[in-house]
Amino acid sequence: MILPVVLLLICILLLLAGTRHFFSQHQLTQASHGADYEKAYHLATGGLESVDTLLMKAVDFINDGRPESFPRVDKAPSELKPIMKRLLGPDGLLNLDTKKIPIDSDLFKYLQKDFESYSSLKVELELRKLESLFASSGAPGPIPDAREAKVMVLLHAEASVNGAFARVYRYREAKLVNILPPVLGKFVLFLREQGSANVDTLADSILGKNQVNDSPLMVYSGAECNPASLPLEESVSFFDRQGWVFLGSEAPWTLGAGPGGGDDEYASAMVSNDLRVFSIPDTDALSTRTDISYYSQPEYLFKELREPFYRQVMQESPSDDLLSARIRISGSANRPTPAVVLGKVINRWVLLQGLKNERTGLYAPLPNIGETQFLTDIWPGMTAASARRVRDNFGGDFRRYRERMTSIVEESCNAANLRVLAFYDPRISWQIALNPDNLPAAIDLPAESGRASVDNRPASFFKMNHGSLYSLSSSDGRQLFAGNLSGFENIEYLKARAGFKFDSASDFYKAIQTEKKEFIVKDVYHIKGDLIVDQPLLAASGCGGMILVDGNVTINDAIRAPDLEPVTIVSFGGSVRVSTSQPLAVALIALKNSVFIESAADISGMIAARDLAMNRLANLQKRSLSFNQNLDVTDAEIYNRAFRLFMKPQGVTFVR
Amino acid sequence: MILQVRLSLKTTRRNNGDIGHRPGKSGFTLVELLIALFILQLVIAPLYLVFTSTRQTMFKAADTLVAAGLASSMIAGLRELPKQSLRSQPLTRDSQLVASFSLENLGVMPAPPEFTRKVEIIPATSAGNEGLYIVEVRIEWHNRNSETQVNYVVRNLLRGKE
Repeated sequence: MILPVVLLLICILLLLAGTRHFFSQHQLTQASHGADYEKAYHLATGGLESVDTLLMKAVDFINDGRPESFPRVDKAPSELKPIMKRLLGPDGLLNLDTKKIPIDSDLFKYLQKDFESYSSLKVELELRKLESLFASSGAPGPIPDAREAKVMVLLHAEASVNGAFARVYRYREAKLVNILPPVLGKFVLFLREQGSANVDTLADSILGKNQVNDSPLMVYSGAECNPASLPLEESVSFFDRQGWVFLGSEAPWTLGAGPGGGDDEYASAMVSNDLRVFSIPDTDALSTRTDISYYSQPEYLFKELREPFYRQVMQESPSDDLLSARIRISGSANRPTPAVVLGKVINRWVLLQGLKNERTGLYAPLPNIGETQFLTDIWPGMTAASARRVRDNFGGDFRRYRERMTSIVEESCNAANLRVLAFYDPRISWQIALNPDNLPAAIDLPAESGRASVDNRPASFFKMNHGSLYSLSSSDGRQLFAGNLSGFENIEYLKARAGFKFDSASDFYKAIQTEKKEFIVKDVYHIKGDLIVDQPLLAASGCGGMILVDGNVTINDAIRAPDLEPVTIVSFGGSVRVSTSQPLAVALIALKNSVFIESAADISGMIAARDLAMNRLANLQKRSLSFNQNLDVTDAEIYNRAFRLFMKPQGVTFVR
Repeated sequence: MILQVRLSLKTTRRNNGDIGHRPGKSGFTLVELLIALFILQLVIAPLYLVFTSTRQTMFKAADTLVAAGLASSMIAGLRELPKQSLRSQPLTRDSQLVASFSLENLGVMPAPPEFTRKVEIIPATSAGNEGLYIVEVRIEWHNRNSETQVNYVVRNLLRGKE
């Protein structure tokens, strides 16, 4: 009787013991697995951090647009080379259709130390294009680049320890953008309208050399050029590399190309100030005098033009004809930087002509008079006897006199490029006033631009380029713009490039401040209000960026770009006011309003605005605008160097 | 003589008769009891060992989980440190860490007395990983019966908060 009971008891005990043993073993297994999982998790997060650090360095390298970091794969630091090879396409641009790229790190072995035999770690990087930033509308205007896109950047880390798997992911949404201002980056100066700034009313002083009553804006379009320095075959690439000028409106821009008070830094590069002397032809009566020659000279002896007690050779002309321009395109006499001008732009300047006495060195300018006065003996600055003698010299023929008298020269702004470059053809350099259409056929002029056309004709380097249909292309053939440049005013689509948005400028400054208290621009920022630059902004490490502002922009402090990184400030609806003499390495854009330069500004970049305004500066302070060649959107190499992958340093990390 | 032990157990008689016990003689003999006890002790002794072993297994599991938790909490605390606070730290008990790595500063609970938690931080020197720190957290404890030392080591990388 008792045995069955005992056996039953034994069975129960065995069952209990077995159950408890099973569960405790299971618990131990679970605990071990949990502990292994924790190890695997830390292994995975460690691997993720290591690769993420490499990725951020790779992105920094990709965002370095300095020429010395190209070709990227070759110039990449050794630890980044494997990533670069996988991330970049054959054209050196970011490949957005990558499969998962396995990435190794030196730290993996250390993280697995002591348990490498029963653990594994694999980290992969995946880039995927989510959507293009800009949809092509097909409407006239700028043609967006479909390569600018939202991009998913995903890191997968998978680690196992003793069969316990941990998978950790880090997700970021990035933007692949080009930080150059579209279309406008080709122009050192882009003005849609003339405005009310009277850009051609800089009066030269008549009190003496180096004196003007204002400071012109000296526009330096790129590489310097001195006469005869440029072989003809290089001229096309030279002009295509320069920063161009666009001056819109149907009314012509008449830019006085006067001598800028005789100051080489102010004197326009348009005209050569050299004196030309010509022997008197036998048909003229004065040819019997061996000590007298004809001379021609651009308005350098400005005293002769207007000074009351001197020879008033231009007294019949409107006073505006004697002015220099407040905008001095193509640099100055001591730093000529020829540029291609698009728009209806005319140069206007005085050509002093007369007789030179070789024995005494005295000049007798022949006054600018009409035919009626020519037939009288009353000529400005001359005695009646002298007037009669000069008239007799030309046989009483006013047409012959008109060729030799002091006169106003009016020519296409681009014609000056011939003279500045002085294409080593004496037939060009001999002429003071040039009309490219009337040059002898044997003179080879450089071919036209391959990057711009006006009304379906290639833009000329020497003729006027004015029309209603402008087309700009990149050097690789990609079309950038088609339409009327004067109507190009809305670039708000650029907001899609922004990686950061701020309600105020103070928020913006807080966000870009570094540990070293510097304010680094290295992304595309959108500020909803106004922006006052009252702390110096800095571009670094070849990156650069854009600041897009809905309101007005006031610049009171420096903007520095040590390696000429492209930095652009755009005011969508407001104006840009420059109130500092600190160096500004920036492109300033206000297509719906004005750029107002109220200081002795030194700008390296470009200006694009509806119109340009300047106030008068005292004490001959200098005011200059130099083209930053790294903004040239028509140069495919430069353009491709301006692609940036911007993303926030903090990603979203999650565990599966 | 056979001692018959009669228990007060009563058998139930059913209508259809005896179910195997003699009427008025239900129970079991001392022999039966001794045999039963013998059989029982044969089983209970190993069962006791099984239960003891199971208990140790459970302790081991619990200790392992505690160790994993101690290591993870320490690393989680270190990961929250700002970048500028990170620096080298030789292998040191958590209670003796410098102020910036102190448990109070990290918001980490101290380890139970049976456990020793040690932390080592070294800068990553390999190219491309500059700015990272390798952290190793080592948890040491003793098995509750065998007194053998057990280690649990976890490594991770620290970047520091911006």
